[in-house]
Amino acid sequence: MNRRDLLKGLAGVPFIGAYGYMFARKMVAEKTEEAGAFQKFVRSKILPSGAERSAQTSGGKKVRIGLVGFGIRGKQLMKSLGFMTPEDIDRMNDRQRKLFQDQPDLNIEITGVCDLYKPRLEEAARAGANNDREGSASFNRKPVKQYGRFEDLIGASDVDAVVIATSDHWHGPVAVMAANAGKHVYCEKALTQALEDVFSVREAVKNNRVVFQLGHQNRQAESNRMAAKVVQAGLLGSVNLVETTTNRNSPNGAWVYDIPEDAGPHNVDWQRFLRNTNTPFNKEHFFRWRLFWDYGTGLNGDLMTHEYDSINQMLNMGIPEIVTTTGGVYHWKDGREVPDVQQTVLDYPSRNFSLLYSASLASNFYRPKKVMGDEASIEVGATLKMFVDSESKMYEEYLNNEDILPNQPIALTQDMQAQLDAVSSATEKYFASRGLLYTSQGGRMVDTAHLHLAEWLHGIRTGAAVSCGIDEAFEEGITAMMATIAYREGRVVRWDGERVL
Amino acid sequence: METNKNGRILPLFILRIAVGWLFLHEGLYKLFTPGWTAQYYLAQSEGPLQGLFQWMISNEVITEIANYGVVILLIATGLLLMTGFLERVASAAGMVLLVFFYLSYPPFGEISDVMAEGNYLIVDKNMIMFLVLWVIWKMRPGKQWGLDRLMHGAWGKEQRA
Repeated sequence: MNRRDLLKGLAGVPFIGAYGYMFARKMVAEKTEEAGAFQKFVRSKILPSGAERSAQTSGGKKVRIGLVGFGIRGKQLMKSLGFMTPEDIDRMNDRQRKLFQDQPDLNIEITGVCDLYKPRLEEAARAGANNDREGSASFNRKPVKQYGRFEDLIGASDVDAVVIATSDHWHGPVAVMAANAGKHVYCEKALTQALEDVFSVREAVKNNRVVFQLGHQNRQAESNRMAAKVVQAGLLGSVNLVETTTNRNSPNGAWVYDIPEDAGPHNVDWQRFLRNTNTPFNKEHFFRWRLFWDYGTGLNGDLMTHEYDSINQMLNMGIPEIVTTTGGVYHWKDGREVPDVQQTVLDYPSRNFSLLYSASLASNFYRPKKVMGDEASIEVGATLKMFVDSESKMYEEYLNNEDILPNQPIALTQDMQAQLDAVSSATEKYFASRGLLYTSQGGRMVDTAHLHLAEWLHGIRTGAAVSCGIDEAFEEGITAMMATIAYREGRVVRWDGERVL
Repeated sequence: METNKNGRILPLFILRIAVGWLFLHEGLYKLFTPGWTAQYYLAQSEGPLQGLFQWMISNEVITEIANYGVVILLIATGLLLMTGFLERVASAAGMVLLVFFYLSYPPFGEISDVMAEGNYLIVDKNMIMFLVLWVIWKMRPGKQWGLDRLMHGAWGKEQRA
């Protein structure tokens, strides 16, 4: 082997040296960047609260649950509890099935189900019996107990806790009766469809000391929790305006649900569906109840409540002092009563801020939540972004040092995109756009409603506090009712601290 | 004669260094990214390998093996290509990896590709890199410029003797 052989043989080695040097420089640069003064400041403010999500025990005795209402939401809640019909399990694709099978076992039993539409009642009973999450090939269990009257389900000695997913106008009566019977309650939003029910639910829950959770699973989403920390640490300065929205544009998003062909007076218990009215049998009212004031409250109870509650999670601002609502049925002229375009303003003069809720069911243009302060603002979507105001005093030094740029997004939640493989660098935004139903927990995707139910069960087992308990539910219920009254009566509605005026 | 040969080998040599650089960096970057896992990449795949990938991520041990496997393969392939050592083995390994990458998100003009970086139809960067490695596998620049020359030389002499 001569000298030329050696030189040519080792020709690639200097490149490795060059690569190694540059890689090391890059890593060092990224490390220093990470620990920039601004990031250090923000972290010191929001990270100290350490282990917030305490380990939840699901040990001990099984909690026996009765479900009232197996419509669209009731079915989803059953799934979040770990129960589906074998047929629905068959229909899922591999990815969905894996996500469902991986969902932790909550150590519960479904001991009874109640619905006013016979086929759904039977379906619920099969789902409730599917303890082992089996497909139809291996499933051979007896359906769980079926109730036509919620009173009987609540009265059953083998029901410890009740999940309520009825139409909104029955939330109040079912919750009150369950609490009075000493049963714990998980109730879907909105808390009620009638103002007086808001007070009676609170009274019943407080008097009987049952564990109550309202179904605002946004309380479990990582970006919301982080947003709450940012706001509560004062990182935005004084928050003076909040903008929240709903944008959807599909029949399903506008509550035009399918009406089963076989449905009729023979398998729908219409009399029990009605509460204070005397309407003759009407399939559309039964299956699309969200469109009518007798059963629901439109955008107010259905979608504004989610927005309101996620802001209440951050600001703890409670019930607004002044509420106005305008809008109308501008697009879905299908005989509905509730508006499809709506603006509600919730004002808090003594806290010096306003919350705007703006909704359209005929455009799905994406508008994230915006929380605006005099120092900085945040945008809350699937990821959480912070924007420092160019006029900020608190961050003046960082702005002057060009540590940060004014009004440019700074990502605050860990971005899963960064973990995607780089050689193929596929699907960057794909993932981010899906952050609504699932949140990331230790790098795994988890159903937020599952976490919310798990928190409630943990509360039942240990007495630990829940994140959307009766006080938060009361605030949500009153606020939604104020917005409904403001629209229906075309007036400014006020809260004096005790009553709606 | 010799200079002529050098001139022909130079572009191939640089190509091999460049591809090796890319592989090495992909591997090292993953190695140094805390918490990096192939899980999300595999979970989102919708190509013909979806079933296989779903099975892989359904088992934690296999996911771990896949994580280490990808990183080790990328780094090893990168180093071998840069040094020109066992370049045929390295090219083949790189080609196998690229086939997997290609099939995980095949650029067949389906809607899910809209979100991918760049815009490709059938031919994408993975395929180009695959073709580059094929050229290297075929032309073997390492026999001239690379450790394979020393191997080859030693070998050749032994055989002559």
